Amino acid sequence: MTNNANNDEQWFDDLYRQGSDEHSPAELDALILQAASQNQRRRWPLFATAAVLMIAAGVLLNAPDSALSPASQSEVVSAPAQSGTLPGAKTTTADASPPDMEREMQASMETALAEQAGSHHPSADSLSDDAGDSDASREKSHSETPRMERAVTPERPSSSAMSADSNAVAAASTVTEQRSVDVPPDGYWSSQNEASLAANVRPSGLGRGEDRADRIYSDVAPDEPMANTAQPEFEAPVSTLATPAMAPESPQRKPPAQETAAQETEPEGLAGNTTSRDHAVEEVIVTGAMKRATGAGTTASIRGCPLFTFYLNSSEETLVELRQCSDGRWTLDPERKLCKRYLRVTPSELLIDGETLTWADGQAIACEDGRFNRPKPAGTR
Amino acid sequence: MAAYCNGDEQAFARLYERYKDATWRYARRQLPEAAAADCQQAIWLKLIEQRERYEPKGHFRSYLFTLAHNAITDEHRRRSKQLARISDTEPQQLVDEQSHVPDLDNTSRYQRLISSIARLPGAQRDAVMLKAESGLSLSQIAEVTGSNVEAIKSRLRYALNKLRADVDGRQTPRSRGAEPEHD
Repeated sequence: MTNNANNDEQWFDDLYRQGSDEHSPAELDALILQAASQNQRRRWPLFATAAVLMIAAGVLLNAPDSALSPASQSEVVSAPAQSGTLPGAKTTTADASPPDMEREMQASMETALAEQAGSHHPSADSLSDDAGDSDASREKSHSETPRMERAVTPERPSSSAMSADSNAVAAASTVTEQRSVDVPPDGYWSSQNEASLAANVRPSGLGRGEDRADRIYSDVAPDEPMANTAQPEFEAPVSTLATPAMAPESPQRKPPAQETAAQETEPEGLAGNTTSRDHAVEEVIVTGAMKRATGAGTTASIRGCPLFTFYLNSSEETLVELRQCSDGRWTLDPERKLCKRYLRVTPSELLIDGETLTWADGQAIACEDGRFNRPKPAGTR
Repeated sequence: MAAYCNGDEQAFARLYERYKDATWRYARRQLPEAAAADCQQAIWLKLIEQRERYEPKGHFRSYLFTLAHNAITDEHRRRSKQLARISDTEPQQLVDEQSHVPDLDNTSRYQRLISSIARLPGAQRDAVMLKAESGLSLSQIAEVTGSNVEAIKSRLRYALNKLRADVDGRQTPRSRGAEPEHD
């Protein structure tokens, strides 16, 4: 380069470095780091599931009398340590001779597991990048697997064969029990567990306790019926919004009956009435990009506009993609392309009025210089 | 990046902390703030998505700024289509607020530089920002932009000339001639 060019380059470097202090917005930083964490945690369940599937397949194929069915897998799960024999052996439960009542409970549990496996087969969903529920369920499986192992392995004789079997047990459990069900330490299914399994309800909270990142992208809150949340797609707005079973029943959320009533009126509200004004946003929307990154979520549609929705605990903060209309209103409608901003918010801070979002107190949402006019929450944050 | 590919979550955080401001400024100088935020997210989410396909062939910076360049290019195309389609758009939402002509008496030289960068033709602006933020060599910048070294040199030469003329009012022989538009 010529002297003039070098001179210009030096001049530019000097001047640009002087004032180059513009930083990435903190909100955006949090969004991106969270996406990386979510994506990282999602990898482990994929690998773990693949690994345990392979182990389980190997064990089951080698087991002389075990059928390749969820029922037989549940046998493995249900009686891991009673007799100290290999779980895949037919004689395991026979040798153990559980009481008749427990055998009946076991049979009903196997039936439930079989139904569960039939409606939500892990192999199809686990490896799909766009699976909705399966991603949340994989995260739960991952969170539950250590507990399963902790519950099972201490009861086994210490031998490499038995530890491999315990892995198979845990694997089979993971495969067939996408929703967590605790294996009691004694290997017997208690009536509590049976009832829990029948209701597809998680007996306890997330394996990771207060792991918020898992909760955010979980489409199954505690005490939520699993059969309903296994739906990967919503077919109609009414069913999407008005599914009472999908409303979490955690203490922080509204009672399901109220949510059902409010949600059932929402389509009418969208059609023009404002009956939805007082209905807090229980379903929040995350960006399409976030969905691609995390693989979580389900789709719903309101007025034909595709939205990505997650069911969240109302106290959980998440990212919402807002779109601005030409008149300055903020909406969730992704068809509005004028301005897109991300807002970290807890659902209870927002209201939906038709297609317009407002703050919970009815104040219009405004954004200036990248900052939203968020009202001071009353002890929510 | 290799550590992140191997499952080290903190490695991504370190990468992000190291490069986020550079990618942000690179996008911010070429797009309005909201669009730049979209781009910033797109860049890093693409990196997350493609983690498993990442191969450490060259410098990570080249890879990162290739993602950034592509994201900005996509954003420009999208905005062009949007502008053609939307008729009731508030002008402020689509006009680059950085490009207004500054009052030379009351603005700092740095502010005038930023304003002048925003008014550069797209390809020249892209070359200048890559040079300023990425730390890449000219050949690497050429690779990122899908161009060649001589074209990058030419864009930089004209761009820097114009910038200096705008900021300091200094006229150089090259700046008096017609500047080729490399869009």
